[in-house]
This record gives sequence, structure tokens and C-alpha cells, in this order.
Amino acid sequence: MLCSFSSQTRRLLLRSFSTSRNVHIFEQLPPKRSGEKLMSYVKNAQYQRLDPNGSKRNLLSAENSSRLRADDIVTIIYKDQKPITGQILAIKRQGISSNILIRNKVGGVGVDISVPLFHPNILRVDIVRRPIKYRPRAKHYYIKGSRLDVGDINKTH
Amino acid sequence: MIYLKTMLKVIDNSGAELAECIKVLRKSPKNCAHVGDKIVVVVQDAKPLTSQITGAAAANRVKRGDICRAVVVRTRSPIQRPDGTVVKFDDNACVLVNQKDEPIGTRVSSVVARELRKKSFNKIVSLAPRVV
Repeated sequence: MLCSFSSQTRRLLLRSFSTSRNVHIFEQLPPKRSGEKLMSYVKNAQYQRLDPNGSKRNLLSAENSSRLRADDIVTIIYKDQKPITGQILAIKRQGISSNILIRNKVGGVGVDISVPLFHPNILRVDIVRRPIKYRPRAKHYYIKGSRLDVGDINKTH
Repeated sequence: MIYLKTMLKVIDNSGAELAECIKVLRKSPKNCAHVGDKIVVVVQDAKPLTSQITGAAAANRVKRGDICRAVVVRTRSPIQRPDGTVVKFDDNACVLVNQKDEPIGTRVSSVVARELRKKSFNKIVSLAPRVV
């Protein structure tokens, strides 16, 4: 087989063949995080830190039939500040930085507040009222300034 | 985002109803005013002065065309808070103040932003019926 090569090439090839016999093949390392993908591991760690009992995740999960939806009237209860009430216009699902946009009229002035749901200062989110029939679309930005706009919502609704 | 030519609602009982910003105070020329910043305004629309109003309220009335200082209390542009909350109001509004930063009027008629307290406009915050 080697007769077609030059003498120099033949020598090189022989040497590489001889060394290849001594190549040490290492044992495969055990998988890190017991095989879990890095991003899912990071996300789970964040959820464990910010939402240990899973109640906030449950509010956003698509499997939960009593999840938050646009058109619901909610009250957000904080640890150290007054609760805020309003109608949900939109829910942005993006892991621990998920937030809900709520709208209310305070003394005739419309106020939109976007609240990061997984902030440790938020104790819980209470659903005050659900509509009988939900409006179309998942984001209700179109109700602003129209006849569908929210009224003066307070906690007793 | 309050700058030259922005029209603001005036939400006190100084008599002014609509004011136009002509200067943002103590900021670089490229900057704009947010909640709690002082501006100079021209009163564009005012309630007519009637004889029924007496006392301090009558002495502090402003007319159309008056140049006053004012504090921004609500903005349409989003206000980002340290906890990640973002607040947006439906209009731009201000309260007229004098040279010592005391409000000219004796009443504030609608909601103001909480950021005013941080900028030590405590008088305006305590006069306001609601703080968001």
C-alpha cells in the first residue's frame, strides 16, 4: 500500500501509524446538572428563588383554566405599599421578567401600570372580577380612548 | 417628555386650565422634563375671573398670557420605577408654583405621580386626592 508514496512520506506515515497505537482515550465525563439543559436549569433556579411555591407561575400557565387573561379585573397586593387595582390589558410572558399591564381610571385620568409579576415585593394577585364574555384578542390596547375603555375601577367591584 | 411647545393641563385652582411649556429649567438644552421637573409655562387658557372668588384664591389668580413656573406632575411618556414598574398617564399635567416652589393654587384636582415626593414637592403630594 505504501509503495506509491515517496520515501519521506512513507516514513511520516509509518511514524503516525506507530504513534496512533499509544493514543489514550479518556473516559466520558459524567453529564453536568445530571443531563439537564443549561437554560432550563437556569430558569428553574430563577423560579425556585422568586416563586418557590409556584403560585405566580400558575397564574400565567396556559394549562391553568383559571389563569390571568386580558379583561380580568385584578388587585395586586404588595408587601410594603398599597394594593393597586385595574383591568388587565396585556400579559407579557417572558419567564421571571413576565409582566402584566393593568389600566384604571383615577379621577378621570387613565393610568397604565406595567407590573413585573415575579418581583419579590408582590405577595399575590387577586382576581376581583371576570367578564361573562371575553373580548377578542389577547392584547386589549385597542380599548384605550374608545367607548370600550375601562371605567373608574375600585377594589369593591 | 415635556419640552418647548408642549401643552399641559393645569390641575390646580390658580385659574389656568391649559399651559404651554417654553423652557425646561436646569437641564441641558437637549433634555426634556419628566415628573418632578420645573418648567416655565405660558398660560394659554384660563377661567374667567369672577367676583365670587375672594381672599388668597383671588390674589393668586392667573390670566391668559401670564408667564409662570410650573412642576410637571403627570406625563404620557412612561415613568420607570426602581422596582421595574412602568407607569403611564393619559395626559401631561402640571401645577403652577412660585419662585420658592410653593404651589400658587390651594387645591390640586386630580391624581399625581409618586415621584414628586422624592423631589420634595410634598405640598403638592399632600394636596392631591390620589397619588399613583
